[in-house]
Amino acid sequence: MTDDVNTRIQRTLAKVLDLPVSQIRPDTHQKSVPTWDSLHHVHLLTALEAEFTVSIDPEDWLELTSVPAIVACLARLGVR
Amino acid sequence: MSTAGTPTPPPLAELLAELDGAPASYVRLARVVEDRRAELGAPRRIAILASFTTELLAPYLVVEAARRRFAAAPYFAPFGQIEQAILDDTGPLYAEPLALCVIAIRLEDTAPALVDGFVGLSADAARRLLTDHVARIESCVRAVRQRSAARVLVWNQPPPRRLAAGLADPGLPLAQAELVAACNRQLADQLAAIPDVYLFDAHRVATELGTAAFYDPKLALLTRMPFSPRAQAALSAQLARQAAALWRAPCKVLVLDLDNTLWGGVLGEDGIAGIALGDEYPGSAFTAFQRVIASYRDRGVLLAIASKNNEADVVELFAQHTGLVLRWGDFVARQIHWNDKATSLRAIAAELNLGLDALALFDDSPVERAWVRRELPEVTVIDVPASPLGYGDALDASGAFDLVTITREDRERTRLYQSDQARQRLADATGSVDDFLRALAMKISIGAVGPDTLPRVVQLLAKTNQFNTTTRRHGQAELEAMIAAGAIALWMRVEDRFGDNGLVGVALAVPEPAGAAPAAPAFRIDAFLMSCRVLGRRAEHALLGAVARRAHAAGARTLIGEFIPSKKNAPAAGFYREEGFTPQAGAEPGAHPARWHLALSDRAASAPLSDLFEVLEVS
Repeated sequence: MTDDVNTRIQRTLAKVLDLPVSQIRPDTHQKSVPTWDSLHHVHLLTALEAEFTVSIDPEDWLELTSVPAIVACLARLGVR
Repeated sequence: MSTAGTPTPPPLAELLAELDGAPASYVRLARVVEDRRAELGAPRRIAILASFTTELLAPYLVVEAARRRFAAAPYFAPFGQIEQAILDDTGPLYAEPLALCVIAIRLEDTAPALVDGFVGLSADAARRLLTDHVARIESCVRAVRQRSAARVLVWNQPPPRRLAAGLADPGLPLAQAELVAACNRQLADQLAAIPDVYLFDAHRVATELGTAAFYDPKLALLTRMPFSPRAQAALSAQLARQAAALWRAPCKVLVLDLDNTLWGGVLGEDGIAGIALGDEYPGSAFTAFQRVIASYRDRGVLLAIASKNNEADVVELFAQHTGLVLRWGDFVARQIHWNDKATSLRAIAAELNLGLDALALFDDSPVERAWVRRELPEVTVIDVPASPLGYGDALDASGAFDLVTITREDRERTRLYQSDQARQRLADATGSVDDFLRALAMKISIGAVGPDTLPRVVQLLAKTNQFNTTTRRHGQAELEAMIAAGAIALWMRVEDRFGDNGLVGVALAVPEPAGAAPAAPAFRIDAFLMSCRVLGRRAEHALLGAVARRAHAAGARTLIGEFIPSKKNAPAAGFYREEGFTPQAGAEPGAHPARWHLALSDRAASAPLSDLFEVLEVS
């Protein structure tokens, strides 16, 4: 995964979850982000799908609750 | 620019311009808008009652409302509890004043038998289910009407994502597409009598986006939101636009710049012949924009001109140029001089006795737009893209002249319905080619080639291959020299009931023998051509008639036709024979060019033209 992809993930999370980019860390988890509620989870996933032009499997939909999970999922979808 | 500690925040409009259409951008900007809601005036509470989940629409709706310059405070009734929410007099729906109540009930959710189960239904059963669906919506609307003064916006039915009968749908006794149309028709009819109720054309939003992009089956299954993020943005934009139109008076006057707005180029520099306007690109882009403007005129929008130009040049152009769709008389106020545009706009408002807020300016110059925005903030200044290809869409998208009433829509629908019927009758009644041509109600106008038509005429000479008797590719200078030497040079335009075909014919006849003008015994048709757009319409007969009359009037007794065969001009091969010309005596068969003669008797030259069309000789 390139720096560019990591930056785009960071930026997307920051925008949707209303956080400074610096607060999105490689290990950030939903539990530690109060704005990451179920509604914003949907916004986040649709935002990631739009940002990377991918379709996230419904099976992964509820599992992507942390930056590592998102990074791994995008890697599986061929995002480099 | 900013001093330490107190940075000036950029205007909200500037921040909104950063919107890139992606979900993240909407979610982020929605927070910005909510933080700065006060700048948009008192928030308008918008309730959304739907047969699907709608909370996801919130950021889209808030941002799109801000783009239409109002603050939206959306309230989402719990999913699927439409009647409960409406009938609960003391419930949250009415807890605070309601500006707008949006009701979105889809067949997919309330009458799935009409969607995926469609094939198994008889037409009667389908119609009964449809009537129930519409009745349910109507009773919801009436219940809101009894309890609240809010405007009510009712979604119509978008096209279904899939047709239950697939390829066979169009042939069904009642096609599913027809059922959707019937649903929307019934909704309009049933709701027309209830005050302050309007239709929201979700069907149109889906059509513009395309059903494949409109629906998101995964999101529907995971969240009960049936529409893709793009569709949510588009639906919200349309909702905000319609809401704004409900509580804001539309502009009344479209003030237009001229150079590079109504035509391409600068009239004062390029002259009438040099500007781009007419049948060919780039002129055609400006003609197309003028047609869009004409549709606004037809809706009742007043047109005015604010242009830095010499008025006499503009008057001359409007008198002469055949590529214009708009006429001088279409403009109710004209400010054509070298004063600044703010002064012009003030003068237009004063002359029409309207406020400045009734004016919308369409001007290609960013400098002029910025100037007017600064000087006259009341005026609506429409954003204009760099390319004229986008002008019409920009005008439409501005919403400056949006009007929303059901009665008005009904009127439009009636007109469309009638013209469909008329077209059908035309097709049915057409027995012979002549009948069809008569029914086309062609109007042919013919005139002498002048500076405004010269570029198009040269272009037709250069590119017409099929109906072209000689395929002589004269250039502009040659053509001008021939006209100066006494040639008859005519252009022809053909209009019919389905539209204007533009300048589609050229005839060029030179005195014979050469140099014999002004009293030549004969005219030789050096070039005679027609665009393939109007082949088979007998329009050539009208153009030849005009040549014959003019040659006769110039004292000639013979008209000479020539035919030079090419690989492509077979359609013109029989032309002179059909028009009554005789092959020239002594000419050997197959001689090139083949020459044909027509005697120009007084009678022939004044003979009535075909009864198939109306001919107007304008110059």
